[in-house]
Amino acid sequence: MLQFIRRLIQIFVIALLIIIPILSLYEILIENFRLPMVQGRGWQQIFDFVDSAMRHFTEDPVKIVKNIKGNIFWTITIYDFTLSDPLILVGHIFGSRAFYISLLVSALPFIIITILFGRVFCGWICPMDLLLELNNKIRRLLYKIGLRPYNIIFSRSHKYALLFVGSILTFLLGVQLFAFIYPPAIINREAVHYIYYGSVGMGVVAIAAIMLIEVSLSERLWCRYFCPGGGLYSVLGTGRLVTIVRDKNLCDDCADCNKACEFAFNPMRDKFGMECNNCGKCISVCEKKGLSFKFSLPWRRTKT
Amino acid sequence: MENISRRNFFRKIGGGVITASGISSFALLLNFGTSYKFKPLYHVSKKIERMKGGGEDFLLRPPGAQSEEDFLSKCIKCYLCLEACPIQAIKIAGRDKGKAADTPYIIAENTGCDLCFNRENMRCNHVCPTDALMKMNSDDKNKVLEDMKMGAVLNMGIAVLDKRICYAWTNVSVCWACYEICPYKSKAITTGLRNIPTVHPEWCVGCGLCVEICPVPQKAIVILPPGTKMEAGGASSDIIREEGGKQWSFEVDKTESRAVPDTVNPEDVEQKMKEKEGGDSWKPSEKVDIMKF
Ligand code: SF4
Ligand code: SF4
Ligand code: SF4
Ligand code: SF4
Ligand code: SF4
Repeated sequence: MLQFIRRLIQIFVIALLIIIPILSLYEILIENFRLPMVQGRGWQQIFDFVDSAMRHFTEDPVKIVKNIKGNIFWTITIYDFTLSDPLILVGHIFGSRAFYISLLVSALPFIIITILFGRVFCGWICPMDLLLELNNKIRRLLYKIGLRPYNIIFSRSHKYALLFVGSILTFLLGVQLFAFIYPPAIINREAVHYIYYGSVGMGVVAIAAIMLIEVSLSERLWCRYFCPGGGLYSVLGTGRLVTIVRDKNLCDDCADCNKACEFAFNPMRDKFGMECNNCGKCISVCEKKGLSFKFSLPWRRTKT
Repeated sequence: MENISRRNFFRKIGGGVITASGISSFALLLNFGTSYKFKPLYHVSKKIERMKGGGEDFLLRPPGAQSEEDFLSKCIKCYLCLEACPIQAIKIAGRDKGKAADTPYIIAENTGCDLCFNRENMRCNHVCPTDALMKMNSDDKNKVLEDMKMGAVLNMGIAVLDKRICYAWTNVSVCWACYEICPYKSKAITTGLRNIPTVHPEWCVGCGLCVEICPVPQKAIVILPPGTKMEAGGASSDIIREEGGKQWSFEVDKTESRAVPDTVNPEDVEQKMKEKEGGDSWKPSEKVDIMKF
């Protein structure tokens, strides 16, 4: 059930990735009276469908559509309410060497969610996570049919290093570098680029390369070891209030949860670490119902 | 026994193939100079032109951008401005632009920015989540227009007229298209008695509408970086014909201008583009050095 809800949220957010740029394009066509001039039959059908759907709700679709821009992964604006990724804030502070209050305000919701719930952006929203989880299914299938892909282990501190070095380089070069390497930003960008101009850039190749490497060389390489966004969320979520807790009386040490955890933590021995993204895979895989989300204050927890 | 060794053998081969594909994808990642273009489905602007001056690229940024360094250090490449622009003036810089790769810019030769004249606010800088584009709204549009003159916040570039190829100046035909379209008509461009245009840099904001509309294939009027007004000597925007100095060149693709889809049906455009690729019919001049400073 939990996993079903999680997948539903992920798929809904990915759907926004396609819907919002198409709506924006539709708004442009309406405003310039160019709706009948769309090139290509498939696109014509899509825009006709959007048009008839919008006309159901309102007389003047432009009024609604022009106020919705962007995407939840990187930044989104809905009626002057803006929501941004905390990584934007970090990049902006280092890049511009200044503090922009509206950006801080727009990043605040995600910061608060991360402080309360930990790295939930990764587990529940990030489009790359969905891609890589499906990708990991292929990898586990390879295991089943007897091929053994390599599993190179890196140090988990690489992502903090990347966050640090990226910030310093942003400061020195004066270019927002995180946008080049942060997968949610890349996916967002390529989607907009494809819908608007019908072509994609190198970002798609980079994403495909990460997926290939993960199948063949190292399990969940990017999110475990390298993603600067994941690093930032881990740091912010260090003292999170909602954690996964194991009931020692119910657990019979079957280690199913350890196999299920894609981030290679050890739920069977209560080792979740600050990087756990609260995806809840271990909870749903446990047959004895020994794991659950619990609310607790970080300083009240007993260390095991 | 034989069975097991055969399975081991296949395992090794399979592992090797998978490892090789992983390594080759690393190689792909390193091959960063090229960009992979797919066949366009819905295309507004296929070709990205470039304007080069003295070896460095000048990219015309959306209104609200301050200096180039300032813009680069703040723009997070989210493309909200691109989604918001109602006339699709904003395009994306390719990888060949180096530091400026993936940032939004305007190709004046294709589509100039109309400064959102008949809209409630400038959409692009209104949605920009960072201060890469400074917000410029006002209830009183006229007051904004008064404020937006040269030297104030709105300073995208500067229009420079080449008298040697302008139809009006060379008496090829009657033309004051740039004067008619300029948002600062009779301030940034005046025509005088003989209906021959002159640009006044102290008013020009560099929106690029005049470049879009100019009928001369190589464009008799172009946008140069904001600082150029100093070099051109303040009040005068004539091109100073001296040897040496910066060389400007650019390519123009008229078929993808905003004006086309409204007057020509798409099949004609496609036909025209096919002919152009064939190379025998109408062709925009390629990279002509038209000016010297
Ligand atoms: S670590 Fe990065 S790529 Fe992975 S899920 Fe989190 S934000 Fe997305
Ligand atoms: S001011 Fe308006 S027309 Fe000009 S680039 Fe911005 S959104 Fe487009
Ligand atoms: S909206 Fe602002 S930050 Fe985003 S791409 Fe445009 S200029 Fe850059
Ligand atoms: S002279 Fe050209 S670039 Fe300058 S304000 Fe007028 S139309 Fe815009
Ligand atoms: S539009 Fe071009 S050709 Fe016509 S007057 Fe202006 S600069 Fe000259």
